Amino acid sequence: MLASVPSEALNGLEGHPVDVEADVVAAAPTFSIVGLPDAAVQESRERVRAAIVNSSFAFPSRRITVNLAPADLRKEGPSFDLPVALALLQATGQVPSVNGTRGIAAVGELGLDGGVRPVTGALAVAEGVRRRGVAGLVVPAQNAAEAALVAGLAVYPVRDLRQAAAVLAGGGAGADRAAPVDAAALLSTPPSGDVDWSDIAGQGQVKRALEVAVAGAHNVLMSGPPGAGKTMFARRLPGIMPPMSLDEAIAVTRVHSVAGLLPAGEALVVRRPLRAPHHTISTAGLVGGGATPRPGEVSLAHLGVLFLDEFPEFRLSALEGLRQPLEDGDVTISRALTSVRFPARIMLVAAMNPCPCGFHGDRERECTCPSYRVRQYRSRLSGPLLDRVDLRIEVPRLAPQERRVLDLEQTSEVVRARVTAARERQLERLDGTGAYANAHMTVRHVRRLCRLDPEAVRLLDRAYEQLRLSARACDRVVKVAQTIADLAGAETIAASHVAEGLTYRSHGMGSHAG
Amino acid sequence: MRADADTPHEDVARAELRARAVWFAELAGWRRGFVGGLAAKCGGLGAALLLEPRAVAAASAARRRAARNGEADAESEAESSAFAAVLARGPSPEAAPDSSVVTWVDEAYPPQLRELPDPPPALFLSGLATAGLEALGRRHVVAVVGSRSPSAYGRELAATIARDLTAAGVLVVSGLALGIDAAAHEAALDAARGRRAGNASRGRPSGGVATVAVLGCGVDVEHPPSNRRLFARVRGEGLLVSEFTWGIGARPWRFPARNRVMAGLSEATVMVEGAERSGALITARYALDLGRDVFAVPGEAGRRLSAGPHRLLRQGAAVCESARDVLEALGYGDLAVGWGDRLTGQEAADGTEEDDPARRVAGALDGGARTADQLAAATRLAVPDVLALLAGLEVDGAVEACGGGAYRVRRGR
Repeated sequence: MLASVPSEALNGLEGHPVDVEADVVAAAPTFSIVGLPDAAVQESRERVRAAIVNSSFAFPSRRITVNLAPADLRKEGPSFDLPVALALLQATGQVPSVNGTRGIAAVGELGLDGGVRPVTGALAVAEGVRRRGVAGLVVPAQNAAEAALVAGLAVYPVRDLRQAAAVLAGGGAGADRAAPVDAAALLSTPPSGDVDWSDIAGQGQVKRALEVAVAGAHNVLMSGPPGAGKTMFARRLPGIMPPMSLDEAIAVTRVHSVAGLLPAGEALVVRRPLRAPHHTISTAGLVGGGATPRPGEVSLAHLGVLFLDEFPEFRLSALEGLRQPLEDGDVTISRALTSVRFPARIMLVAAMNPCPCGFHGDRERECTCPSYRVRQYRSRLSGPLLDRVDLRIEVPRLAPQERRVLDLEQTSEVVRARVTAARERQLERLDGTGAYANAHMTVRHVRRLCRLDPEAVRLLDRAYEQLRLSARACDRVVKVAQTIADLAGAETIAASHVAEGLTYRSHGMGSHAG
Repeated sequence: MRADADTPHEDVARAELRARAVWFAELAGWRRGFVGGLAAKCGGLGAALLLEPRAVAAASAARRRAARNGEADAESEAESSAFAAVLARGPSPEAAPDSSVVTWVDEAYPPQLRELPDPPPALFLSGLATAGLEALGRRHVVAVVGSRSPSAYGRELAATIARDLTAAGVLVVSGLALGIDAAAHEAALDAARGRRAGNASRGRPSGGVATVAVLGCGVDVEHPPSNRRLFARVRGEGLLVSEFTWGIGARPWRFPARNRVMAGLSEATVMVEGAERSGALITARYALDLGRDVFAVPGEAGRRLSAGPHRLLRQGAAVCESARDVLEALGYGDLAVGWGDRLTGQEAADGTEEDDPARRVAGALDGGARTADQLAAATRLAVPDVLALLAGLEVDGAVEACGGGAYRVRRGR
C-alpha cells in the first residue's frame, strides 16, 4: 500500500517542497530510504523504527521503501523523521489515509521514545509549505510559535508521534492549533532597559559620532586604548537604531531559525541583532559557508550590528570576505549542486587599539611598543575594507573627573527617536534608488541628491586642498555631512555639517609624528 | 692650516696630511677605538697623522691582537677584511674631495670638536656643507636628544624646544633617529622656514642652516629607513654630518661614537625623555666630561622614560621646561620682552575672543591638547558645534588632531 506526506527540505533560507512517499509490500523485511538522503536521513530509519514501536504502533515486518521526491534534491538533517514515520503509518493503515491528509505537511525529529524534537528553520519551512498551497503543518511544539508567524497556515504543534498521527487521522479537525502570533504587540514591547545609552559617562564626542553613524547606517572604526569603552558603546548601538518593521523582524528570525539560534518557544526576534565574533573566527564562520551552506556572522547580524573587536587581529581572508557583503547587502555561496543567498545588510562596527599595547598617543600612559610594531599592527588593516568605513572615531580614556559626567536625558529612546526621524528623511530622498540610508549612496547618488550650500562647497574645496583629501574621502565626507544635515532636519548641507563630517575622517592613523 | 698644538714638520705637505686624516677616518669606521688608541699612544691626533703609513700598519697588528682578547662586541669578518683592505691601500688624495669632507687639519673643522679627547680625524658631509660648517663655528649650537619611542608629551616638548631655539637663532643638533630626534629636527626645519620667510620679508639675506644631524653611519646611508623624508629635508635645508665614510652601515658601537661627536659640537645638550640605559644619557655624559651645559626635561615620576632625565637632574643637570631655560644659560639677554608670549602662544587671551566661538575654542587649546568633550565643557558649546569649529580651524591650519581624539594648536608653521 502507498502513502505520501508533504514536507520541506531547506536550501539556505528557503524551503523546497519534498514529498515523503512510503510503499509497503509483502516481501522479505527491509527498510530503505531513497532520494539523495544524507547520513542523518539514513539514520532516521533506526529512530523511526524505535519511535513507532515505542508509541504502541506496529512496525510492519515487510519490505518498506521510502522515497523523498524530487530525487535530485539533496536531503539533509533529521527533520524528515516525522513525515517518514507518518507516511509509514498511513501505508500500513494504522492511520487512516483520509482524503484531506495531503493537505497536512509535517516536519520534526523523532526520539526513540516517540517524542518529537525541535528542528531548525521552521519559519522557512512553514513559508515553503504555505507557498505550495498546503493548508496545514505539523511541527514540534517548540517550533510552533515561529511557524505560526505565517498567515493562512494551520499550524499543529505536537509533542509526540501519537499526537501527530491523531492530527493526520482527523485531517486536522479537532486538533490543537497554534495561536496566531500578534507580531505587532511583540514588536512594540519595550526593551528590557538593562543596557541604555545614558549608562555611558562622558564621551560626548564618541556618542555624537555614533549617533551620526547609526543615523546614516555608516560603518565605523573605533580606536582607543583598552578599557575606554568601545565594547560598551557597541552593545548599546542596536538600542538606538530605528525599531524593526514586521518584515525586517521576520527576515532576521528566518536567519536565526535556520542557524538554530532562535530560543525555544520564541516566535520572533524583535530586537536588532548584535553579533560580536571573536577574532579567531574562520572565513566560513564570518561570511557563511560549509559543505551545506550555513549563514555566517555577517548574516546573523542582518539588519543589526556586526561588532569586530580587535579588528586588526582578524585573519585577512575573513576580513576580505566582508567586502562583497558590505557592498551588496547579501552573501552568495556557491556549491557544485546549489547556490545559496543569505541576507547581510549590516552596520559594521570595528574596534581596535591604537597599537598592540594600546596606549599609543595616550597622554597619561606611555606606549611600550617599538615603532615598527605599531606600523606593522596598523598595516594589517585592509585598505579596500577601510574604504567602506565612513567614520573613524577615536575613543579616549576618560580622566577620573570625566567618568562622573552622566547625561541621563539622552536615553536610548531619545536618541532612537532622532535617528529614526533622520532615517525617514533619507528614505524619502533615496526613494527609487535602491539605497535605504546615506551610507549606501553611490557616487552618482551623492552628486545628484546631496545639495550643499555655497559656503559648504567652499569649505569642502578648501579642505580638499589643505588637508589633501582624496576624491573618495571627499565623497565620504559629503555622505556623512548629509546624515548630519538629516539629523538637524536641514534641507541643504551647511558648512557646519561639512565641518563636523571632516572631523570623522581618518586623521592619518599612520603617524602622530611632529 | 691649524696645527700649532702639534706642529707638523714642514716637509709633510698639507695635502698629504689631509689624505692621511681621511684615511684615518676610514680606518676608524671599520675598527672601534683604533684611531683613538693610536692618537693616545702618539700623544695627540696631530702626532699620529705624522706617522708614516707603514708605522700605522704595524700599530694595527698590535691593536688587533688586543681586540681578540674576549671582547663581546667583536668585529665581524667583513669588517676585519674591510679594515685590512683600507690599511693596505694607504692614504689616497682622491678619496677626499674638499666639498664633502672636512678634516682635522682644515680650518673649517668645527673648533669645538677639537676639545674632544679623541676628535674625529675627518667629518663627512652632505647638504649645505659650507654654510653648515660656518654655522657650527659661529652660531650657538644646542643638541636635543632623547628616546626613540617617546610619549606624546616628550615628542611635544622636544618639538617645542627645538622650534623655539631655532626661532631664536640657535642651531639645533640631533641624531636623526626616530622619536625625539626626528621631532626636534622636524620642528627646527619648520621654524627655520618661518624664520627665513621673515628675514626675506625684512630684506635680510634668507640663507641659513636649519638643523644639523649627526649620524652613526655614512651620510649616504638612510638609517632608519622610515626617516627617509626627513633625511631629504635635512639634506636640502640643513647639514648631515658623520665621522664615518660613505656607505658605512649602522652598527651598535657606532652610535655612542656618534653621540660623542654630537656632544662635542654642542654648547649645551637637552635630554627630553629616555630610559635608564639610553643613548641620550651617553651624549649627556660626554657633554658633562667636556664641561658643557646639560639640561634635562623633567617627566612624570616613576615613568620608565623619566628615568634618564631624572638621573641627570639628580647629578646636577639644569631643569629645562622650555627653550627659555636654555637661552638664558646661553646668555640671551632680553628674554623678558616678547619671549614669554611667543614661547607659550597665549596672545589670544584677550576680551574679543568671547564673541567668536572659534576663538573661544582656539583659546581653550592654549593649555595643551584637549578632546572635543573637554573643549565643549570649557567653552559651554555643544559637542557637534565644537567639532565643526575644530574642523574649520584644522582646514585653516591653526589646529591639528594629535591622536586619542584630542586636538592641539599647530606648532612650527
